[in-house]
Amino acid sequence: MNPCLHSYIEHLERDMPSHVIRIKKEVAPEFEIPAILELVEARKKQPVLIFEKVRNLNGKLSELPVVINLFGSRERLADALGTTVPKLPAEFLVREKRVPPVVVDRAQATVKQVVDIGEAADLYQLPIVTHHEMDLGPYLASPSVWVKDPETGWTNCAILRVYVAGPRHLVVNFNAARHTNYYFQKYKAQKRNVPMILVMGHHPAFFMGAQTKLLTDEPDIIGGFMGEPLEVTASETWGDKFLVPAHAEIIIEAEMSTSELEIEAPFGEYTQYYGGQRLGPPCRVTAITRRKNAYYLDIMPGRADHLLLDAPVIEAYLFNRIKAVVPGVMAVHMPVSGSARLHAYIQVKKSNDAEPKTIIAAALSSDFRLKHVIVVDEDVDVYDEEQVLWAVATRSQWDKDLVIIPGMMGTRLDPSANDIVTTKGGIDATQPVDRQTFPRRISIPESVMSRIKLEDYLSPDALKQL
Amino acid sequence: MAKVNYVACPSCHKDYYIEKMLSKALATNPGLMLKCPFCKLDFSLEKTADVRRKIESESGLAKAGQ
Repeated sequence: MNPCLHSYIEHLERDMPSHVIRIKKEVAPEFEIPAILELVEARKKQPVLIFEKVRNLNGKLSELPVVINLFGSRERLADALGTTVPKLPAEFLVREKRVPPVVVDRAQATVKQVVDIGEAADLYQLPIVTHHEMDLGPYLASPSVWVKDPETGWTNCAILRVYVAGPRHLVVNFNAARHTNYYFQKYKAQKRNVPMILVMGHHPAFFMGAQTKLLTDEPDIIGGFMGEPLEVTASETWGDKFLVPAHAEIIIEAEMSTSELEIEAPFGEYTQYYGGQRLGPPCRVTAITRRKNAYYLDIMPGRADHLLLDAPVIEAYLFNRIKAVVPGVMAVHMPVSGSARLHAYIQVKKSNDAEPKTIIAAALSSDFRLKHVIVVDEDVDVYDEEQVLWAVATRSQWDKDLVIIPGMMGTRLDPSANDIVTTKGGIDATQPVDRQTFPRRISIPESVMSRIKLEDYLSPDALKQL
Repeated sequence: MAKVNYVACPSCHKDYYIEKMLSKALATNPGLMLKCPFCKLDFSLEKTADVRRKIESESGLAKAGQ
């Protein structure tokens, strides 16, 4: 059986117990779960929170605990792929390979333990969270939405936010540039509804695999990330014509209209602003299947939980592209301060003084969302924002080290942009290659640093204070 | 997203913004129903404008405002 969300939480509770907090007090799904997460984050901690008693949208106590902030820590993402934080982007590239799924009988599929079809498929039985004050209502924030290309049969997987408009009624949002839209337009041309499934909750490696941006049969790539073929089984609505992950927590099967549009949003976006009200295609839910003791996985929009899941994918792609141009590139970090999309800190061991600007140009054109790039030397830790800004403060002169490129394609979710047209820029915060012309950075002798242990000098009580 | 168009809910009078594409859709179909994120009621800008015109007309506000 594939690793799943249950097995991953068991692993965390056994091997990394500080990464999980269970909350036994009853909470409402509207705002209370996000409020508790925000207060925990304010203490600079990012544990997974498991709310055991949550009311569903009918106002009754749900059977399903809510899991939030699963993806809120790079350490956990790295752990889920069996690697370390600095090696995470490289691990993405290694795992981005095709391992086709295997079909299992429904009797072996834990996601078929509870099956509700037609009128019995009631979204209001789920503890669906409303996150921010101006959100139009409850949103499914974590689903990996699967849509098949009607021509090739390939499946696209994308995490989309989905507005819950009624007990069997959803409205989807997807960007015009998304592969989901590419497939949607093909169904629309054929005047057909779009069969789709929403995968709610699985092992973190599943979601990281589902977030790759390849135009291919993406469940194959999920297998690459999971290190074994994804087990799939027949859906309730389309049978063998649409296979669903056998060990997801919850699967929602639905048909998306290509002939109607309905209102959805405002919704809190990754830039931490509300996206405006807009039109999206409505969907009719045909079936909901789940594990008996399913976790309801939520993702907190605009926070680390949401931002970090995508960050290593973007970092991996950027790293690959820039390194092809400047081989001395050592690391790429998309910090949460730039919503893990808009800023990149890039570390390079440069061999000539033109490389940083080359890196800036290559990076800014490699991802439409990326807006600001800071290039630093190999002695600056790109994961430490204080060090990066120190390099900007002491190693850049903006009359010669600043790059500004107006009129580039950006994200329309950036409120300072003119729709999708934005001005991008970068800072070369590196020292000259000729170090004889630049002062030396202060340091304490390495021989002393390596032999000094705090335990030898500070009392246990003093150590606890640190 | 630089420019956002604010609309006011006729029921709770709070305002919020709509996206450019929805603004364009409203220009050709002003009867399109919107949904207020605060009070959750559906409304149309066309009906809101009709109601406002009616109230102004009945109360003589339209004349007085001239």
